[in-house]
Amino acid sequence: MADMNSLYPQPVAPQAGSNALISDPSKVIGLMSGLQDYRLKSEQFGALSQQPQAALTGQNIQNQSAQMKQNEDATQIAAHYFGTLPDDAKPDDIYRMKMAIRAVHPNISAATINTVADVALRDPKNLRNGIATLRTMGLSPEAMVSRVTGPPGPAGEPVSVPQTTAVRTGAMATGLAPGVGEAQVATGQGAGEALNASRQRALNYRQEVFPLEQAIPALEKLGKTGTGPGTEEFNHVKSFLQSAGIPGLDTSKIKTFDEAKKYLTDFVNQNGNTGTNDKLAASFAGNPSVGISNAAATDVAKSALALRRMKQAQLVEFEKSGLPDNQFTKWASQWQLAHDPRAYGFDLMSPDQRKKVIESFSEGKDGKPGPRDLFKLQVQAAHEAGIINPGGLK
Amino acid sequence: MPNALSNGGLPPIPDQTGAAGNGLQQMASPQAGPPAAPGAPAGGAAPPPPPPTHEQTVAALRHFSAIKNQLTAILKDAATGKSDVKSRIIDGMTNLVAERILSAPQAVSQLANVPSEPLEQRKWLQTMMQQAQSAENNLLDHYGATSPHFGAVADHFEGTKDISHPDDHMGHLAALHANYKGAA
Repeated sequence: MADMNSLYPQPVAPQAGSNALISDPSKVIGLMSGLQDYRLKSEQFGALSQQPQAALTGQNIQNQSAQMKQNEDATQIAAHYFGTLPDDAKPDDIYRMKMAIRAVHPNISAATINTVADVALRDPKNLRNGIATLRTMGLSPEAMVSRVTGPPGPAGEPVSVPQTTAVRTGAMATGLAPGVGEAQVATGQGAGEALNASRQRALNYRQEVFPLEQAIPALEKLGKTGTGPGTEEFNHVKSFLQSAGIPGLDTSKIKTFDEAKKYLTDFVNQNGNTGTNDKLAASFAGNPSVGISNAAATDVAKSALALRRMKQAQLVEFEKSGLPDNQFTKWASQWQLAHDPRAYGFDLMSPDQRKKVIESFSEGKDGKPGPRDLFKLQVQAAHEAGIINPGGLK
Repeated sequence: MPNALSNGGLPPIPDQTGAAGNGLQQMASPQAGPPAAPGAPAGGAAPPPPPPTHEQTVAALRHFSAIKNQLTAILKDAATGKSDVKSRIIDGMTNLVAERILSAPQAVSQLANVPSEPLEQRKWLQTMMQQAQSAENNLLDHYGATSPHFGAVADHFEGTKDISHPDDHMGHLAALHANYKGAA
């Protein structure tokens, strides 16, 4: 009997070759995985194929770096040896050092040694500078930027210099000779104290000179017999009589005497050392007062004023000089020698006295300035500084 | 400017092409070839030159340094290579004669080789500089290889003090030249 199924359309029979994939999906997955793997490997092939070359290149770089490091070390070693040569080394010393380095260090090539030596031998300045350059080559970067103690400054102050500068300087003193520092400290301290005292005194300059500026005209007004031993008591009696209303007394003289006495006393109180009664008495004896003759009192008062002005002028000039404070005493001692106190009392003199003072200085010879010109310059400088008044005291 | 090496009384000139027989450059080199064994048959490789003495080495280094100084000064001149600097070369040669680095006949002989073209002059000067540098290196290498010192650099340096006076310069150099010439 025939198969009944044969009467109906049959399903399409699968073709050979594709049956395996369709029948087994896991094989498709495997194939796809293989394709994917192939694609990935194809993409990576270029990079993977370069791997040996890259490794070789890396090795080459490493070797070159090591070689450069060796050359650098060799250069530094050679520079170090050349740097040990003294500052006064001669070219022959360089040649001998070349031989010594090459004989002791077979791994440092002659080319390296010659190249380093040429830095010194061909230095455009001189061999000493070239050797100094080699010394700096032997320094580490940290040492190059570091500072070391250098020679003391002009006033003996400590100074630091860059290491590279010290290397180029060669031998140098880093301190002062024994005792010099101590002397400078003492001098500087003394100068500071003296300057401070001068500045303190200058604060009251006008107050100090005012009594004298007032007393001098008063003394001159009193005349030759206006002051002196006994005049004080006499003026005291006159003053009493005036107070009692006795007519005929010269009241202006009584007033002038009192003014002169008052201002001279003020001056002594401000300028003399009056710490005790004894000192006060000594101060009055050594200063202008109505107890001495009028001529002497006037001259002493003028001298005292001139000297005070001179001290003030000295301070003013020092401040203008711009010198450090610790130089004050040294500068002042030289200034004192070059200046005459009479220049600072020139306005207090009569025309006749001025003429005599000027003529006391010799004139210059052969057109060169002499002491007289120097004195005139001092008078002019004192006038320009406002220390003296060309019109005299008012 | 002197060839430094090829003239009479001076070590032979290093060969520019590197061919055999390049004088000092090859002979001063420790790698120039193995020394001939004692009793080697005649006609074999020439025996290596004897090592340079301390005196000869100092003299040779002084010689090369002086020549390089003169060459450097001319090569640094902006005019070199652009205009005729033969007068400057003559001046440099005169300085070397004055310093007793060269004899007058050597100087005259060298001046005859100076080209007249500025560019050629520059090239000639550069060649001289390279030769002097190369010969200096080879000589120092030869000295180091044949006179090793197993101690401190300072000791070696002190040990060579006052060994070569400039007055003996020509004599030491002639002896050195004879050593290398005999080995060539």
